[in-house]
Amino acid sequence: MQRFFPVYFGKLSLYLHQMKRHLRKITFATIIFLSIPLLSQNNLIDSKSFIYPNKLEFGKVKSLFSVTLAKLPEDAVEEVSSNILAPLFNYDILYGLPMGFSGHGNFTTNWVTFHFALGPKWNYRYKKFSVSIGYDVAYVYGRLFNFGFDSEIKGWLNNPNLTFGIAFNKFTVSFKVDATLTTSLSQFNDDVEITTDKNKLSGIAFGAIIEQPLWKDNIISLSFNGNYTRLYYPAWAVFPTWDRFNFIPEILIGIVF
Amino acid sequence: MIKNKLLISFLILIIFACDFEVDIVDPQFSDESILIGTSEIPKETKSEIEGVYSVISADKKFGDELVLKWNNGKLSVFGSKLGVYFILDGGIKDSTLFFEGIWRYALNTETGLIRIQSTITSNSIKLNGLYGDENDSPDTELELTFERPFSEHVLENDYFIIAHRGGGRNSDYVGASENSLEILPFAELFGANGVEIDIKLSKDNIPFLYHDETINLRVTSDSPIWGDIEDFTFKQLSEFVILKNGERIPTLEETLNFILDETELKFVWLDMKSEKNTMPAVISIQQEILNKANDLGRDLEIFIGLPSEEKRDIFLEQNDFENITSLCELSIEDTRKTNSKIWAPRWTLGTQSNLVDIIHSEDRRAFTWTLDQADAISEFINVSKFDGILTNYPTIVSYYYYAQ
Repeated sequence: MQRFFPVYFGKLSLYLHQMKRHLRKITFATIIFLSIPLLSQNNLIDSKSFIYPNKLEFGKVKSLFSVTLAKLPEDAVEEVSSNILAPLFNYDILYGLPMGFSGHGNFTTNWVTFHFALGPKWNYRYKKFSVSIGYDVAYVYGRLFNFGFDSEIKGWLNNPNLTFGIAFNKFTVSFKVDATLTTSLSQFNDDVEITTDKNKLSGIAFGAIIEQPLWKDNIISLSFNGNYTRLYYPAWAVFPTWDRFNFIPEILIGIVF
Repeated sequence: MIKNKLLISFLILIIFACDFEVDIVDPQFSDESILIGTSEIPKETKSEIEGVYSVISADKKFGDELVLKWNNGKLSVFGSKLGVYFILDGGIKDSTLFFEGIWRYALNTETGLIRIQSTITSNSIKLNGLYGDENDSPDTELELTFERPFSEHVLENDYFIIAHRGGGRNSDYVGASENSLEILPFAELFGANGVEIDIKLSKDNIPFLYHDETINLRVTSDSPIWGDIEDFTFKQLSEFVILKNGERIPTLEETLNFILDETELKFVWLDMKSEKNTMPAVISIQQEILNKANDLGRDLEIFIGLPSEEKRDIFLEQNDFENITSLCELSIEDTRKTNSKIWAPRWTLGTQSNLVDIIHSEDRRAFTWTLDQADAISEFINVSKFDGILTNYPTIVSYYYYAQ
């Protein structure tokens, strides 16, 4: 369908046209998000939240199941820029250890890529404020044998991370920053191997996380992340080879149980 | 609470609507050119300085080895580090060669100015000069020492370095828009001897160059019209749509005429991107330009790309399709069926040497696409038996090819 506008509205009209699809998604997410408090019953959630740093009793376990949606940079994905990347499914687990420590584990997949991470976390709380420092070591494996690909990727990543949280009566807000260091990463295309530079800072991510009751004792976790990265590993098969940082926003919604 | 959430939702809207602009510098000398008063470098001297050079610079900015090659009147320099390249104008005065221009990393947007000069002696060729970052006056020393001329294999082989979208994608910020007339001279300066261009068909049946399905801000800088690009007549597109760097959308016919008359490119890959049946209109233009090239004695090949089964079937319906030069991206069986002279599998399937041998035994050629990874480019050039590579980074392919 073609539409005509006066020339001086050109750029604005193109922007609005491209924003239309985002607006629909955001409006839907906003309606869902605003209606959450209607279902909630619990006001004391700081001890039950997942991202908000907590001392977890020795031997206790807490889990978070979440889904991540990311918008890849227009330069990288070109025509499909307004399409959000196929969802990433995440399972995170915390295991209580002595002296404020906890063990963190993660499994993430989008069916093409699998990410396994493990690492310690140290938590400290002062009144409503809380902080944690962690270090995860992750193994990434991906494979794609369709659509003209005969490709696999394998590698090790390191993620030092820092989280700062504030607890309010009905919800917690946490701010997280983590870096991704590529220890090794190799891509195999049939008989051709491509090795990424080792021991390289490949990205930094900033996140703001809200956690609040969904219903009864169940906590919902909502994260808004901004990745500033050279390589976004879940999209390894389509990611360009250029050596520059890309901004990739992510939204993550999950349930703590 | 609701207000806070509304604020958060608004922030999400802003973040997800964002695309960060890449900061690009187009470096310019602020002082007088060193080429003033020089004359054109003789042909023999030009070919004498082509070859592989070792590099001495304090910060290893350009790696250890560079390749120097004349392309379309300018001296191009290619290296492996981040796809580094120089584009230099040259001149001669009192037996001293002077060069000035820009350097750039193809894989990011770092760039700067460079000036070098050389006095050729009977024993050796050495180029000394200075380079700087962005618009800064060149002040860091650089020395290039001639190591060897291009190998016999390189000089005798007919290898194809094909620049994607006429010379590069918009996201590579080469200085001209993808699929424009203005980008074609860049392709040559980057070392390519062929180009791939994307073909669409306007509402009034005129084939033109454009990649995406819609008019959008990735490809265009301004437009009062939007929607599916093939819903408009070419006159409307030509009048209203301005490409990313200010150019107009070209027709296929004017593009092929430009390639014929204004460049030394010898290979064109027509990527049939249209949703419509473009074959009859494109074949007619292809034949017309090939006849013209033949009359001029110009070495130019134009291939119709067959990227899908749908395009293959349409091609098979054309009269005398066996004699129309085509390039098949599907299987070897499809390549035989369409009598395509080139088989072009995706590089992610590997080097496939057995299949390439079969294709060669049938007097066909094998090209691969779209290969941008330096390690893989090196492997395909040094180990595989392919006859050409389609790439977004012809400078990287040029380095690995000429450094063999």
